[in-house]
Amino acid sequence: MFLDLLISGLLAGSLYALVALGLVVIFKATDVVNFAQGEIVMAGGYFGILFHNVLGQNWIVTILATLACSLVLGLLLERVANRPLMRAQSFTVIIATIGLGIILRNIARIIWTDDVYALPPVVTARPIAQLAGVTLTAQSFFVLLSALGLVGALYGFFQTKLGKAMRAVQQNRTGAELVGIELPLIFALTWAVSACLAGAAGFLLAPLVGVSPAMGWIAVKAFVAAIIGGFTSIPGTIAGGFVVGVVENLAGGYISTAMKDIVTYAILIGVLMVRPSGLFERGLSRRA
Amino acid sequence: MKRVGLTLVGALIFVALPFLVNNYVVYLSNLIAINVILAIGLDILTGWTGQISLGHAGFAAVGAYASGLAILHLGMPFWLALPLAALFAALVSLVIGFPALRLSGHYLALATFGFGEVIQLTIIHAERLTNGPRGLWLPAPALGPLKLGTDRSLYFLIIPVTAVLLLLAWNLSHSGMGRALLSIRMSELAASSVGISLPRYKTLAFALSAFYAGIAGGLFGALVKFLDPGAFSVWQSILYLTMIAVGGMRSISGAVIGAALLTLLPEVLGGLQSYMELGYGVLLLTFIIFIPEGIYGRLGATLESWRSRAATAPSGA
Repeated sequence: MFLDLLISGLLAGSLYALVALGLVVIFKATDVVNFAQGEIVMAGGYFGILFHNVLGQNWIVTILATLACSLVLGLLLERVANRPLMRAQSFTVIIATIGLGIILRNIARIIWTDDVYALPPVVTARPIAQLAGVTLTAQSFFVLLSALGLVGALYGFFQTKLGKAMRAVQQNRTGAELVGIELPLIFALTWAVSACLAGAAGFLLAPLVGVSPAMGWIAVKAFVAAIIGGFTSIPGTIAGGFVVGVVENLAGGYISTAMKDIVTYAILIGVLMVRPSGLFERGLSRRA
Repeated sequence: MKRVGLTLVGALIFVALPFLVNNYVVYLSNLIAINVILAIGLDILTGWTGQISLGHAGFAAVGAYASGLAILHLGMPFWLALPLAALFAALVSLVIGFPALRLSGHYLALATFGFGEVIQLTIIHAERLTNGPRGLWLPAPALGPLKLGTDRSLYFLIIPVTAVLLLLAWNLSHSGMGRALLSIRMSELAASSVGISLPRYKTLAFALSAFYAGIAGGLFGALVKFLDPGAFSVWQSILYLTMIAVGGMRSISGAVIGAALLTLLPEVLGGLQSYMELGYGVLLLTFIIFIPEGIYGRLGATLESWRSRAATAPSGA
């Protein structure tokens, strides 16, 4: 039982971490907490349904197309919610991204209704290994490996010239501008990268929970993961994702299913009350 | 003299209205008044003090359930249960108000969101007390021997309560405390440097705001006589924020306009329910980006520019 819960927790946690990383990347570069991130996850799920179930494409085309569509969505959202509000108060930006999320969710509802669509697993769900009485499916391996691969890709991207420019903007916006980095380009890129992570998470999540407008709720878990990481630390955010996934599954399994959600909010409020700067703060103060 | 006349006309309209229109319009007036109370309360916290709350539906839920349960289980009279429940909501808000002193912006948004969800989840899972997701039926409220069973009789309770709370907020906004709250929004640093105690005024704003939400929640329970935890979701909290953003923040007229508009909108667009939420989203985004001063703020600015144009035109000619 413990191992079962641990593994399903790690599985969920890897997806929370992906979505949370998208939040953190946007926050670090643009100071925006994107309350529409969950709806990009949802869109990723629907893109999967569209290309695989409706258009009958194979998995490679579906995955590439899902990533491409998520990227375009990210660019679009950046134009609508970030660009006009670059100098606005955080209150305005919070409200604007909440509004965006509502719009995206309800566009999905108008097109697809509230029905839950099922995306088949990419690899057959047949159990491939038995480990101390716990069955591991090929799909859960696929999800975990993809999540790890995406995190690796993010780190790899940070080593490229564009990635370095993005990190420079995250560290000091004015300084980056002074050395000739084009801020609008980096902002657009940041939102695109973040949306790719969220869209991929949606695609990976789809076979597990089904695709519906309510799918965006995963953002709540991602927010908690990001808060554990102080909204700035990337390793902290990844750890946060796994912590949330494992703790909620253990609480759900050992205490009661009602605890599964309550424990998430308990972590959220607890961390904000005790250490608002996150559990992984490295003493680096943020720019004003 | 003019003012007395206006007040008399207003009072006359107030008394005559429920007898001139049908029951549905009376019910809607009650609902608008309840949302006006909520919007004003949220405006005190968010508009004046600059502290965002994504958990106001939770405070309304506390008010609604506390007054409902006090009436059902303790046999408390309605006139006592309502203010006590609102005080209880204010007390609950202090639990979040204290940690919120250290938080601002998106952290505060997330913390208040978390609190709102915890309140809703608690109501759902405390089934023995609240009957959980199946909902709670409430008796018609009574004031002594007077039973307020119909929407018309409730009208004569809800509208005066709303008027009193509006008057209170208006007086407050012109008091030292109101100015202290406004200064916190402008600059916490400047406010504290002139001796405004941030912890004191921020918790006060939280408590006052939750008190308003609690009263609104209690009146809502009296109006619909059925409480269901689904009615107090984060979606509702966002709706309250939309009301003050659309109507115009930091003005009582703005909160009234926003509350009335967003309460009437679903009734007018009744048949297009699936486009309803989309409409809210578009409304919220449009106002916050293009008309951040809200309807009332924009109207005021337009009137002002007309007035100054009218004043300068003759001298120019």
